[in-house]
Amino acid sequence: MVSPDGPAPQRDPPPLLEAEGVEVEHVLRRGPLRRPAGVIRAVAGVSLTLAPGETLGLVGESGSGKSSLGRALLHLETPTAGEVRFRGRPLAALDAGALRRARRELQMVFQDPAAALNPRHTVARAVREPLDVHGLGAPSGRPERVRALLQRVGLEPEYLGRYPHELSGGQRQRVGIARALATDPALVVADEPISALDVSIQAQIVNLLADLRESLGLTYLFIAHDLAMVRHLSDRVAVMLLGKLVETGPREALFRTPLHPYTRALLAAAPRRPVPDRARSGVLVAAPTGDLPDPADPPSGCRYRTRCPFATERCGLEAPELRAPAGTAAGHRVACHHAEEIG
Amino acid sequence: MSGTPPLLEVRDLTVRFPTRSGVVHAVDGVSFGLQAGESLGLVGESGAGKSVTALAILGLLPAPGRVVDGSVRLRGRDLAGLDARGWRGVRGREIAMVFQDPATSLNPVLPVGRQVTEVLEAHTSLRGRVARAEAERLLARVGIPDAGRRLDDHPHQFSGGQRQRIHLAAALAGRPALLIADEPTTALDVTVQAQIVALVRELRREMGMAVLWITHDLALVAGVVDRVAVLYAGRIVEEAPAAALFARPAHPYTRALLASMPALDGPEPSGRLAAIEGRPPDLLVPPESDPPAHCAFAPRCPHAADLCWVEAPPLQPVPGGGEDGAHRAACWFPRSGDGADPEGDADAGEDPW
Repeated sequence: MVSPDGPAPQRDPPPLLEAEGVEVEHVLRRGPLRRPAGVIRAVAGVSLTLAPGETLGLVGESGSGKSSLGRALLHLETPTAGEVRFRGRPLAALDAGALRRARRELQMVFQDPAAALNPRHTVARAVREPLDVHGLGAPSGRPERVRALLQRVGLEPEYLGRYPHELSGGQRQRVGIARALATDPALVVADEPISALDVSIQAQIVNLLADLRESLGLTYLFIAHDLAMVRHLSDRVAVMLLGKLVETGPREALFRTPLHPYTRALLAAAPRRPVPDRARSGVLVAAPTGDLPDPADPPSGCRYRTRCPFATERCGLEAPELRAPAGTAAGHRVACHHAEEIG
Repeated sequence: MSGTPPLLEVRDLTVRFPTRSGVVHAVDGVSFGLQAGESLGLVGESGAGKSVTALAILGLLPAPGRVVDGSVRLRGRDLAGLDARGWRGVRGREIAMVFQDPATSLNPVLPVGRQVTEVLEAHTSLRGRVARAEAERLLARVGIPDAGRRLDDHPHQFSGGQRQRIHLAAALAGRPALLIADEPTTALDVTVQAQIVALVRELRREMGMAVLWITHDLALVAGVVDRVAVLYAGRIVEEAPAAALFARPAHPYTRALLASMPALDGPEPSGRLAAIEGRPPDLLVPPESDPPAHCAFAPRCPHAADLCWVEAPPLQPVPGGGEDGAHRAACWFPRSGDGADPEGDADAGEDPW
């Protein structure tokens, strides 16, 4: 849209959350005395933005740093370098009160709801707790709010008095989601929210997340390793490898024309839902050889080069940065020196 | 029928776990056979009875589990009567098993070479340097780089994927006729999973070994096995050659599971997934009560009719499912024909890209 009286084009809405050069380091402890033995850069300089209402799918294998990144974006783990801005304001610059208010709007849903819930607290208490902690609404109105939250995630009031062990995995995850919704968040980081659930329950939870996004206008960072689920739920996708993003882009661009050799390997290795009359189903595509390198000692230069069939000398010397090769879809970026040649 | 018995024949296997609050009917009349060199996928969600079936085959049911009915025969011989010595000749030698988590199935304080030579010494005539050389050959075969120099390394010095390879090498050392793989790739990353799947497929061909592949992942099993049996609530609800199962799923549960899985390619996804509402039934039967007589899937089935609530259907050949009756389903109203699913598979009609 161009305004009639000037060249200034209508800009995209300002991002809800921006991360710039975020790094997270963990001290690696080894041996019986757990002595510090080095430092893992779990997140090694990640920049990304989340627009209001969008869902960014974050995929990567174990050790890629995707959970650490998710936590760092909420300052549940303070980044060792870089900056996270929420509604334009750096989280690091907020005083305690302002950070608490920001926290209400920044919530997390965890992989294992059994571990995230106190086994001795009823469902009602678990969902009410964030209301009490943040002092939201009059205390007399909180039971009603708890009932409404449960209804929102598809749980009948009969579950109010139940304990986590009396619930199925899917029901526990619904409680975890209700807890996250209690403070009226704008952004929810969902860290592998379905990977601990049975197959027939996963689709229910993904549908719930999609419904809530629609009715509440939520923004999601959806961390998952199930690529088909990521494709289903996400608007954009980021692929993470050993602490760095190697490719980001609009969902369909990334899934149809993956640019990074690692993204291609992930897609090739993912089991495919069998489709009638199609020979190519299941795991039939040649897998990349070799294991992930030790995250404590990543390769120099490009972090995929030790497994990459296209690696050259340059890949060992110079770490590729995210860039948009000519002819790719808007917003599609890749960190590969050779994206053009191997396209 | 031919005179040679199948390699493995499980008939009416029924396993129960008596507990204080009742009896868990974990496996309820499961029957299947496996020919030498054949592979069968046993697919189901948690609690469906797939791992319990595997453990019952090997006589390794944890307490208080008991086989209350049915039989397991290996080359025609009933395994129920085996004593400890008899089992030693079966486990590791005739039937080997690999588990989901190699971190717990390998001995953490024993060098990996030793874990393989132990199996060789138990089940073959190889000893000493010859056994060590064979261990090196096996570890190299499963893809451990520089295997000869790593025989004395311990499990923690290897990655998760490599540990699963080592576990596999130890399982294969006895040259088993049957390998039971219980979710062997579930703990692994997707690229490593694909490597292990390819490796098992190659080894099966090389060694003429039968494979019973246990998984919750219907998509994974499609590329791995010849036949698939789908378990629900302790029973097989559908069994078919893999291609037929995916082309013409007959049981509403199989169809619903397939429909609920989003696709990696094909048209741009939109709307909701076709989720199966509800959840699998609790298999605990409280004291003084009877197990439900109806079809276990009826409460979640969009097609359930009166009959389904009266009596559970037997596993029987699907009409039009091939003249040999190889495609069977436990449904009073199985779907036959071309597998077109009118229930609104959101991604139907996709094209390869």
